[in-house]
Amino acid sequence: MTGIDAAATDSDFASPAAVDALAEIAGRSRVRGSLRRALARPSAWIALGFLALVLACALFGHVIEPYPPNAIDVLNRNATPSSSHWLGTDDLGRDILSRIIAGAAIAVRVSVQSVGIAFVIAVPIGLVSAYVGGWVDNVVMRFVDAALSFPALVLALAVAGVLGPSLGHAAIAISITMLPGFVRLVRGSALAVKHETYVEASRSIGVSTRGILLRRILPNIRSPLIIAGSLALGGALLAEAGLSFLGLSVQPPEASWGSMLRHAYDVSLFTFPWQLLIPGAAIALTILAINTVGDGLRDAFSPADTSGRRRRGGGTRTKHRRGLTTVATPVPETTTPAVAGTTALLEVNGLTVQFEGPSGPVTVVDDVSFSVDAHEVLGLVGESGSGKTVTSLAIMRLLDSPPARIVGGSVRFGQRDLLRADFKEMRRLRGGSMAMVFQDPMSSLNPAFTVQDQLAEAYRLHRHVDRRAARTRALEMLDLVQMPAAAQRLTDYPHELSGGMRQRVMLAMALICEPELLIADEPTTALDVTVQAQILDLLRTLQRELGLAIMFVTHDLGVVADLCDRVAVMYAGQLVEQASVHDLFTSPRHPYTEGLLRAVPQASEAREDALYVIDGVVPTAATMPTGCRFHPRCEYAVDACIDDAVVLRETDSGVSRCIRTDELTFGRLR
Amino acid sequence: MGALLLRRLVSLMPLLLLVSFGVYLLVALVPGDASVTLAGGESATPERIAAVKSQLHLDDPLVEQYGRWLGDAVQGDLGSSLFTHVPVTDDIADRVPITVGLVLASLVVGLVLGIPIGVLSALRPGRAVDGAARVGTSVALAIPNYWLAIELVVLFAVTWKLLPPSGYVKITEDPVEWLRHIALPAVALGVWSAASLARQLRASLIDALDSRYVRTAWAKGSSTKRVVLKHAMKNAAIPVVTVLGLQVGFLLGGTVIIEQIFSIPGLGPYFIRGVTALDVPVIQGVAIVFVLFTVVLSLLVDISYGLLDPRVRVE
Repeated sequence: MTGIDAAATDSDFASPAAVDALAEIAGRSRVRGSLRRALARPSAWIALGFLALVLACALFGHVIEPYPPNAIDVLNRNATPSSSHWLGTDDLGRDILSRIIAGAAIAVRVSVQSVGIAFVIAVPIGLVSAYVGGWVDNVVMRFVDAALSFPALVLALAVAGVLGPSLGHAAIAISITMLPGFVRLVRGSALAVKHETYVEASRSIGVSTRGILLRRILPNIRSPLIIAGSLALGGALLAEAGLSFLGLSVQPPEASWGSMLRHAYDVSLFTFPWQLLIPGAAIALTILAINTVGDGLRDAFSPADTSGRRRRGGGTRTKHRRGLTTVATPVPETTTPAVAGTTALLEVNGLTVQFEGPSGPVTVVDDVSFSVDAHEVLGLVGESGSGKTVTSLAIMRLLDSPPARIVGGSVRFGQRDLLRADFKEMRRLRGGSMAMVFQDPMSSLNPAFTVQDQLAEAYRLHRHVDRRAARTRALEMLDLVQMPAAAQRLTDYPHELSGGMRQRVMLAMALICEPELLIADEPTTALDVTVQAQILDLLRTLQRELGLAIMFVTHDLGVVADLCDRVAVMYAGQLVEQASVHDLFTSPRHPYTEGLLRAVPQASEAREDALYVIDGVVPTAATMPTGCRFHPRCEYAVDACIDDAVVLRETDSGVSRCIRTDELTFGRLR
Repeated sequence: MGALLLRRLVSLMPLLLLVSFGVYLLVALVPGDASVTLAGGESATPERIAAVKSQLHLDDPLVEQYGRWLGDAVQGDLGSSLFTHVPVTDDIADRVPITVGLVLASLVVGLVLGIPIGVLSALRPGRAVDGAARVGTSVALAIPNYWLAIELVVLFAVTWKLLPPSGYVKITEDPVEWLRHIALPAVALGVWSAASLARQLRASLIDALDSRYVRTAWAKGSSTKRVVLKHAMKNAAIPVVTVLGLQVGFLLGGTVIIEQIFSIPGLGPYFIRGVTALDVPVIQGVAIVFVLFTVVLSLLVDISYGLLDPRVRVE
């Protein structure tokens, strides 16, 4: 869709034909692909096959039926299934199979009829209501609300009863009950596409309202309508069977599944109970088949929702634990030499993380090594997709498994290797001596609990104190993070706070148990510029006051210069350079670092030339180049860069993953 | 909260007015000359026709009829049955507790079965438990409750003789007998509700477990139990409550047939008798009571939103 949207925006809407074509493509490609997906599962085929059988019975019943469905045979009453009567006979000796086949015609007719009637009425009302809006929409929706407050079966019973029992009246009654739901669906779907580019474009070139409704909007809301319509067929069948069961639809002796069930219930409940099984099963199986096809269509039309279908874990039979990233055992030794000395608080060595993809595992963090000393601030820098967030989550083992898996390396924190720790040990460390703050404080705070609940919980998970002590501590922390009117904030919910306040709460929560290490994953990215500065100031103050070590993940080198002692730069899942802040800023040793530095806006740059941009984007697993991963975007690339993977090499200031690092002089100036 | 409740109640008034008019309009659907049809068709005596006509004021304009009916209804007078001449309000008052009891019992069945199934399949998506739950709920959603009811009678009452096949004992008279009589109907209705609850809970719990606040909960050092049952569950409960509200509407509709099958003297058989006999005051009275139930329920659902989701409370 995005491609089509873009195309529609780029073209000048020159001809109606062009707009037509765009709208067509938008609708059609979606439907075709979806049908293919819907039929990918065998259950959908079986269900479709069964429905085809029901349809065949309905259309050619009089040919297939072994006996006339209403023919009474008193000599053959209540016969058990046999070669002459496959499903036996009822109390009047009527062949049950023939009656089931005859009932299929009723089931199909009434379902199609009632859904059809409901659609024919609901589609125009819903479309007009959505398109015209205003009071028309208001009035329509009030009627819909009113109608929806009737229990459907009660309404159907009342209407069918008042009109008088017959199949046609049953169909009318059922379609009346379906009408309000359909109107609401059509209106809702139409509202959603009303402002799409192709609709606006059609309007701007003067297509009539009727044309827009019928040829632009209707084709593009067909998927929800197809789904709802197919599921409604099942509902209609169920309702008709219910009405026949109560004697308000077809009249005896005509056979419908509901009336057969009723008849068997009345005369054979205590004597031949198996006669009840067949009509009931016919109804249930048909509805099951309709639901299966309908669910298949729904899943296919919304590919995003695949949660249930995903075959997790691929071919591996690894046992995963919720809340703890799985580590492949045994963790292979890595080739990269340890970068820092043994005094480091956190030492990441050769960390490699894979994600289970549709076509096998994809390595997203590849052999990454760095360390953070006590009281030190390390910046982990890179563009989106460089693997820096995955690295930080992997250290805390917070990546979901599946799909994530740590397949190599070690993460030493203090005396422990976190990759060998079990869940209990990680629980003690998390929020205790190592804590984390995340990028988006709104979605990272639980919307259903107050600030106090969430802060006190973090404290009480690690300290054995009572509620009151935890509350006091929570307030203390809010003061520490300079929360305005801290005492009143305690009983607030996250949605009542501003973005900056929420991030202060996140910080307070992370620091409440006085951790040694704070991992901050882009903590200011989602905030306004002025609030960003305040939070950074706060972090700097807290770091000094509490003697914290911080691993600061960011894409913003300007922030790094402000806050960090050392910097590690990541690109496409690999570490490409590591150095002290001073060295990195004055003499970067990797072309990517140089590019990042040149992309930082300068206060002194009053010139009119545009800000430097590194051409291209971070490659994905599918587009990963050979040789140096940065070479397609590198202005210094030579033939040798394309051939072999590049290893980290020592430089005078740190490490760099560039074969030309010694011969080139990078500068931050243009 | 009180103000919210009042505001919601007031905003319901136009809706109720519209619905009650819809209910009243059922008279207009009666084919042919309403007074003749309602009096029993062509064979009805002229006296009978005249009596029906005057009882329902069929000679007045429709709006006037409706106005009179509504005025009486507001004061609790829904008219009298055309046949038994018993006031409809009295009959309904006798039967409402029975039907409500059945609905509540089915809801309990739905919750007791649905919540564990939903939680288990959300915790192991794509695994065997989840697959079994998926198949099971699909089947449960496809089986018509009246058929399930009959098959339950066949098994538990006719074949094994464990429970009575039909009938009803008031809970105030003998709670144990009440339970024995209500068990099969409640299961017949509740299985469907368990299936749809389990599905909704599975979906919303999976969403909640994928959320960032759950990641924060892990990052704090929470145990699995705490993450699932506290952090994820409270948020996952919100859409489930919506489903629950809708379900009660369906369950109310379902009681009509189920009560008929089990000869439970609730609103169901009374309504069906009214419908088959074209006893218009009965049809109208029961319909409006059902609507009132649904409306009050959706109000309760809205209130429970406020309890679960603090974002709603403020607005």
